[in-house]
Amino acid sequence: MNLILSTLQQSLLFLPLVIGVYISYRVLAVVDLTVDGTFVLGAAVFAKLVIVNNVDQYVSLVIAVIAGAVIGVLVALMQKGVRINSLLASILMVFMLYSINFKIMDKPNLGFLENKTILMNLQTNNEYLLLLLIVGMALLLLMIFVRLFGSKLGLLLRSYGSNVKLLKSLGKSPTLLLSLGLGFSNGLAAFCGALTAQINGYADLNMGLGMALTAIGAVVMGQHLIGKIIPNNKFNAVLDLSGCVVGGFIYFLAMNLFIHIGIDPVYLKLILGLILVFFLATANYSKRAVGYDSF
Amino acid sequence: MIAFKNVNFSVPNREQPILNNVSFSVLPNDFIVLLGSNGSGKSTLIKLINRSYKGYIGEIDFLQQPLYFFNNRQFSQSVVTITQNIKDNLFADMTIAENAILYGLRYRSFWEQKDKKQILQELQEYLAKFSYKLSENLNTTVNLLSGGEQQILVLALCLRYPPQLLLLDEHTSALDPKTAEYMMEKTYHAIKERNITCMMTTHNLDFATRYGNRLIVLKDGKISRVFDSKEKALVTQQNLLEICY
Repeated sequence: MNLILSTLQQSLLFLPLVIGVYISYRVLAVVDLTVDGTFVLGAAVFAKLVIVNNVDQYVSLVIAVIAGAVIGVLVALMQKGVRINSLLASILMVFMLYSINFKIMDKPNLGFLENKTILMNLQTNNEYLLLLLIVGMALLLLMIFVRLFGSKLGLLLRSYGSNVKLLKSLGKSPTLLLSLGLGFSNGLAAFCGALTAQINGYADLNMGLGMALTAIGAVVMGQHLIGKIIPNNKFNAVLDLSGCVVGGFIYFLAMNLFIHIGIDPVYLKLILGLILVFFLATANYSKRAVGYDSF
Repeated sequence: MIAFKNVNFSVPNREQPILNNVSFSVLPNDFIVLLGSNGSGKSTLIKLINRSYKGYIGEIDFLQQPLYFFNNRQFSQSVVTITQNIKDNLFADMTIAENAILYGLRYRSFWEQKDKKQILQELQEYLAKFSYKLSENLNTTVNLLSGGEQQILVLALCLRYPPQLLLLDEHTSALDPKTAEYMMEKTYHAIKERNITCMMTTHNLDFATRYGNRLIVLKDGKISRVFDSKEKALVTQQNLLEICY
């Protein structure tokens, strides 16, 4: 498979996580780093159920997503129930998830010894069909979330990020909405983790390191670029989610290109971090320029 | 409607209480104006009524029940506050129509299904009573409206489903004199049309004497003077200025 197609596959596989982070970072306006842990949780739960307990792969996938969503709800309750700062609550949860994920897997990594799942089978036997399946999954996911953000529930989730005090004074529960939002977000991260474990062939305790930042980078880059091509000062779910796809693609393309031209992989995170700083700075600048409050 | 009985309110690290033994009642259809210098306790009093501040000593009754007798949803339907900080009252990065839908959820069930076209048409007709420009730009982001237009929008959204008590906390202070005059007239006519009880804090003594039926003057957290409608008719603005500041 050529560079573009493999980058497309990598970025679309990563899309659930990017959409999850888009929900927390852009829609709810909360910096939630929990996805670093729930990404691993999804992989760990899926691998444990499929490899050790011989549970059906689809059932395992659903359980992995639910596990991630539950963690998202718990982080929301930490923020709203016991009033821990949102960033701190997510860091604490990642810290605790390290032990939980270790306990689930019983060792630092859990490998799939044979092609136990559809994705693994396709990867070995027909990688173009695998790409097609991943494209289909990404399209389905995009359709679901475009519909969600066009609904009353989507409007309420956005209102949390826009003015949480007003939302409360309108008699709505910010705790419920934050729980729902972070539930979606971390459920998607766990889903992404479970898919990644299948493609990698193993679940690893450290596979979530930097995932939240990477996804934030993809969201910011994508929105910035889409905003330059199609200027729009109103919320538009199609444009925003397209930004998630574009951002993820550019991120992986940049990473693959750096590896291709022979840059020492040690510097990859530094270079991508600097690119992210640039995009974050320019994104904030352009937001201020049209009168939006920065998050 | 509202009854304060010996209410005291203090915050840590401040020797003087913000409200000191405050007692008064608000009757249905009253338009009470709270006057006083900065720091006299006007806004604190409003924030106690709308349950933004907790931890007072004494009794505050609303509709003959303790203030916290009502659940959040019931209370949000009955008491609405408009503050001077316009952005507090709006979802600034959303459109006028989206703001209206969210304000509507205060009264409507989340599950209620209604035709989108019909919702927008009703909204357009309603907003036209307040501002033609607002009604014609339902898909405009609120951030792009002027401060005056935003505050008119807030008033319109707050009164679409009339509350029992409207609290106005210097809601015209950020507006230019002409817009403030327009806003005050719209506010007064809208609340009289809907029989809403109102409490307003302001530094505009002209508005206070023109629109209020009773004036309450606060000084250092205490009620220093109350003017009923007869006394209010007799007091000159110069006298009022000396009493308040």
